Amino acid sequence: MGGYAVYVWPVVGLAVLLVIGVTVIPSLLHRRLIKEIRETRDLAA
Amino acid sequence: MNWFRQTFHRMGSPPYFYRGARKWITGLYIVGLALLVVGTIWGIGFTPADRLQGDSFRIIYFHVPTAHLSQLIYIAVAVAGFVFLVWRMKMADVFMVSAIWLGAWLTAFALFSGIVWGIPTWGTGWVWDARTTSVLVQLFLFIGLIALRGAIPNSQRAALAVSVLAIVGVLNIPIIKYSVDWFTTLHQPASIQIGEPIAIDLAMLWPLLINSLGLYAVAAGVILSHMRIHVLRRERDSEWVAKSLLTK
Repeated sequence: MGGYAVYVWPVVGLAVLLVIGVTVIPSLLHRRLIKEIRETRDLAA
Repeated sequence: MNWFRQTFHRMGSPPYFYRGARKWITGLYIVGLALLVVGTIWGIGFTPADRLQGDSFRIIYFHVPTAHLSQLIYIAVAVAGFVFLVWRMKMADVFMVSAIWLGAWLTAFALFSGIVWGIPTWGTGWVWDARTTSVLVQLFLFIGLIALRGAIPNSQRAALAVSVLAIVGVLNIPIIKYSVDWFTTLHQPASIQIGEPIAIDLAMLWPLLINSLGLYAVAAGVILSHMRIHVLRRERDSEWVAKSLLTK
């Protein structure tokens, strides 16, 4: 019945994007927040 | 018991949590991603195709772990809501804010993968049966929790409202779980039930278990990671944040 190309790969692709998104985005947000706090509170790195 | 009580109280302290969670996040990401790679390659490349469904059955390795985990996250949010209502623990609120986003994404992905899987096996991507509808209700509950949190400016009141909705909404979890037994549904009953023989071949089961464990570990890391951000944002003017950032 179903093959890889039509059904499995779109799900795998989206799963990979989801995992990358949910792991990388918090890390970037954290770095940005630290930078912002350092600047506003005048803390040397 | 003493250890548990001590840890419970320590985790309620933002500085202790912020410093302690970092190592856990790294460890959970490494273990989780490694398990996901192994489980996915094993499931896609090395398990035999299903006799009736062919290769499309391999969607199980993504659909089932995300669907299970989204429900587990909902239960955990409701428990955190209860903890917040009873003890007014700040970290319970931080947990709720951090987990509901991931819960919403996982529920949406479970629905999407279910639709893709439904097309070749059911002949349709969507039916309004009890299982699909109750999972859609869970997605709406997660979205409702996010909207409610954002709509109330006072964070204490927002946390109270989110706690109440999360606790009320947990009633949907047994409906999702037993929908395939209580109602006539297109969705199949569970293949793995406590006290029942496993209705899935071991060759197909192992990658499923590995992917489930991997996703649980990654999700735990993601939630902890978001919690650290929320803690830092709330405590940005405190002395321990200044000290913590100066020592890096």
